[in-house]
Amino acid sequence: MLKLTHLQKNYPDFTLDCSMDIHPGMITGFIGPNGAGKTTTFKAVLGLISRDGGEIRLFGRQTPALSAQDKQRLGVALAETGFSGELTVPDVKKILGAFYQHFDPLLFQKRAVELALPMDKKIREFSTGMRAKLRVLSAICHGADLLILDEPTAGLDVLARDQILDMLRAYAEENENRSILISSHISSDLEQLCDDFYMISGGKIICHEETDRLLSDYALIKVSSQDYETLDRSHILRRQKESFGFSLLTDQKRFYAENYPNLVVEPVTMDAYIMIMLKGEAM
Amino acid sequence: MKGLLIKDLCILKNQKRILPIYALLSVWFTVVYDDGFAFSFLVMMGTILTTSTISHDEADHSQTYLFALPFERKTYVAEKFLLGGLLILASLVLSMVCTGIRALFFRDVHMEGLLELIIVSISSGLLILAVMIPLRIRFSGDQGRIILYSVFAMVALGGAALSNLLPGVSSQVSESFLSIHPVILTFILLLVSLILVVAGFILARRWIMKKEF
Repeated sequence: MLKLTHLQKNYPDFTLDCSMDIHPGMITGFIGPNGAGKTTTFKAVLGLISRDGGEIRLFGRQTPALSAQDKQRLGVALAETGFSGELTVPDVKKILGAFYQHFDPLLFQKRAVELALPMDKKIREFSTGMRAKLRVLSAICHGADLLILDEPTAGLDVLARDQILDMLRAYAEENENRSILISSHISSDLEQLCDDFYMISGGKIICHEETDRLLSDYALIKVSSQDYETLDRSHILRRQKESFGFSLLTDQKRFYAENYPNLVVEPVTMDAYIMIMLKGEAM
Repeated sequence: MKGLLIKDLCILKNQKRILPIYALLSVWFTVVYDDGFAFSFLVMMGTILTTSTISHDEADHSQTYLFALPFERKTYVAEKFLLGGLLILASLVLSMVCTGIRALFFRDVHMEGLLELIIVSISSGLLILAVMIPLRIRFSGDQGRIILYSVFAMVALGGAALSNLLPGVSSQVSESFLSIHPVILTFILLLVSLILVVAGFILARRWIMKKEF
């Protein structure tokens, strides 16, 4: 669906060098700290910024620049940007209808009501949450093959986040070839939604893993300094110094649980994984 | 193109504070002045409204999202010139309607020189579009406004300086212009404006292709 091979963008104080592969039918998370290069990657893919090297293959074709026809097949929601604040929801419906060949005005209207978006207010009078909902709604009503969503749930309360995630799940289930590339700081959203995820730090992809495998096979082992010395470290990926000794990340939970029954072997959450990947030391 | 045009028309439609003021002023100018001032005023307003849509596109980083929608970058420039042309046309139609109403009520409308007035108004509007659209695309926000005012100030000061420094030449130029028939002169002005619109369009297109969002 989308393949990036050493996509590069150079700024005086930052260099992006990103490779990733988004397969048809997959929901792929894109995680990393602020300033890691997530938004730069999205912008480069969408042709909003020029790229300094690398290759982008979209829908199986190499794309030096996205054509209007390519963009018809994309649904986009970017953080902190959207339609002009001078417009209203009915205006947005008209505009999207004029832009997208397969825009479904009835679906848009139905979802707008479900999301409780005000019809008579200008967007600039919307709350942060309402704007976020409208951004996602604008991306999912024209039958796009690939959704590119940058922080789509930012600023939403738990209920609204759940609504949006349900909509995205329903969207993906409607057609088995549809893909979603989504970035979020709310790791629980990604745990629930994504089939796999890429993690970026300092402009480079530092890992790619399937979400199910992360939740089933990865673990955090908490050991004292003495236990650490005697531990078989052949399956340890990262270690982080703690007051009690070390936190260790492994992708062989069962091995340590079976062979070291006295150690604390905890299932890893996305948050814990991000923390140890960013702050820990590679083994 | 259609989507961009609808977006801009929706933005203009929602300017509920400004549009009634423009309408009132144009009616007032038509009633009070008999020299076609309303024509020029409405055309100027049309060009200002056109460039104001670029400001609305830029506000709150909206352009970043806008340029992810399915259209080519060069279409954005074409749409702005098209919108400007449509608003100039709408201004002229509105002026004609106002003049017609004035003729009905006051019966003192002077029709001589009306064609020249219309062409000069259109040409001025096109000239402004040819300068303002590329500059607003190249320079964003406050920077754009400062550059724009600077260009107008430079043109005005340059003209004044030239006529002071070269009084003989400037009077010769004036005389040569005055010797041309007014109708021909206005058509020359229109032609020059159209050439500048093409130049402005090419420049704006070049700049939009390089812009990063």
